Amino acid sequence: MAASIKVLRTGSSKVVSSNRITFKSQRQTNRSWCHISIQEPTPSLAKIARPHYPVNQPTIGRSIKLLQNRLLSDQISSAMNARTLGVFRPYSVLPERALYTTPFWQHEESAASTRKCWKCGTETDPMKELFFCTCGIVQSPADQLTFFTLFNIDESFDVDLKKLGEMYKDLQKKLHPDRFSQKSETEQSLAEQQSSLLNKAYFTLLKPLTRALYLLEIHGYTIEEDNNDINPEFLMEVLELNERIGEASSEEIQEIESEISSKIQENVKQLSSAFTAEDFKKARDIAVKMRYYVNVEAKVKTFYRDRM
Amino acid sequence: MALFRGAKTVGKALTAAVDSRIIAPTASYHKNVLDHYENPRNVGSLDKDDKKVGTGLVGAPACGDVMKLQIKIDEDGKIVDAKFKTFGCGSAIASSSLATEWVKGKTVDEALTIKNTEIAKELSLPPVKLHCSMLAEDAIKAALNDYKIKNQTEPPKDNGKD
Repeated sequence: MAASIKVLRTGSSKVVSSNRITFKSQRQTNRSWCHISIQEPTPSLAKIARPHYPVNQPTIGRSIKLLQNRLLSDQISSAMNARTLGVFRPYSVLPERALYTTPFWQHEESAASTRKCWKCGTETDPMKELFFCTCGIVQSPADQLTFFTLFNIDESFDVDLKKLGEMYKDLQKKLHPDRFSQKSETEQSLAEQQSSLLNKAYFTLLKPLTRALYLLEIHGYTIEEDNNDINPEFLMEVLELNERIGEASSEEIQEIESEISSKIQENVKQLSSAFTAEDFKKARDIAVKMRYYVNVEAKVKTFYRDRM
Repeated sequence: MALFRGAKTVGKALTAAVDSRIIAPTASYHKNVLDHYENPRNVGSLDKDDKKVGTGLVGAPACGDVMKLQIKIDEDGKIVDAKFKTFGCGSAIASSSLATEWVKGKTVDEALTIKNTEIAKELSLPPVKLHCSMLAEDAIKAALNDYKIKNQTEPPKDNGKD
């Protein structure tokens, strides 16, 4: 099969075809994106795996090799017929599984996409039986879902925090590892994985900055380490804020604190409208600025802690 | 009080668990980083309006670090002084501290040859912290560039000399 694989990475991209895959990275970052698309000989079947979760480089290399082997050995043809390779997320899912799993929202008549209860063997509904099979047994985490889907909330920057909090508490009540102390080891470990995924998802969505960064990731916009287009006046402002904190008295620190928190609030508003308008570039620029302010805010908190 | 004592014992037990399981594989800062972090060299500012001073201000968008590096250049084109101020992680502070040490005494052209890889090597930075050394390299370049611009626009019609 003369399929070609295309690997694109934001920042530095490398296109590779057929048997040879090289992954070139310009500068090493600990998180990067992997966009994979597979082109079959027949253009009508050319499909693209959605750019998705962050992956790290050594895993990319390994998984790509695996992907390549599968392609060449035709083993993946059923997944390819599904016209997508689905989410590629070597972090927490074994590469084999990642490659065969199609996210449910892209379901076509593919056999590769079903999820079965590991205990009773029945097919589970990806939405209704996310955490438990109807037989009552805890399932492995559905890593290939976005954090939004996990909590059954809309994928948007303007998250209903109350609903998110309720969902989180409700799910944690059911999945907390303490509830599984009398159960089998498999169940204990699955509950642990589910519960830690929920924590990660919840805390990512809870804070505006991490939520924004996560949304940007989903849409393929990452913040590169080596981007130096930040305007110097802004950097100067951040530097001065930091210097002021270093020399501040208790009254001054309050002033700085309210200054920063109003800036952050303004950033949140701007982010909200940028995401609503689906202007991801703009959202990314705001998020970059907000990161600086959030860092400064953390310094203010350290200042208070040191005084205590 | 009893409650407090109880909490303390739990704390101790936890520390023991952490010691054996987590500390070992965790990469800690290299001694050179710690040295620069604890005794940073050349912290401070130079007068940014001085024509002999070049200021480089750079930021790392992914982590929100800010680094200011300033150099003072004498008539012979030698860097006679360098100062920095960095608000960021230990590696960023160490990288900029080391950068100021290295540029001192060098000529502008020599300073331009300083590579982030050398800084990273000296400090044994792990891959995830390589961007800190890049930031330091960028800061040196930005400072030298600022100096060049300052001294280009001002004496363009300097016909008297030479």
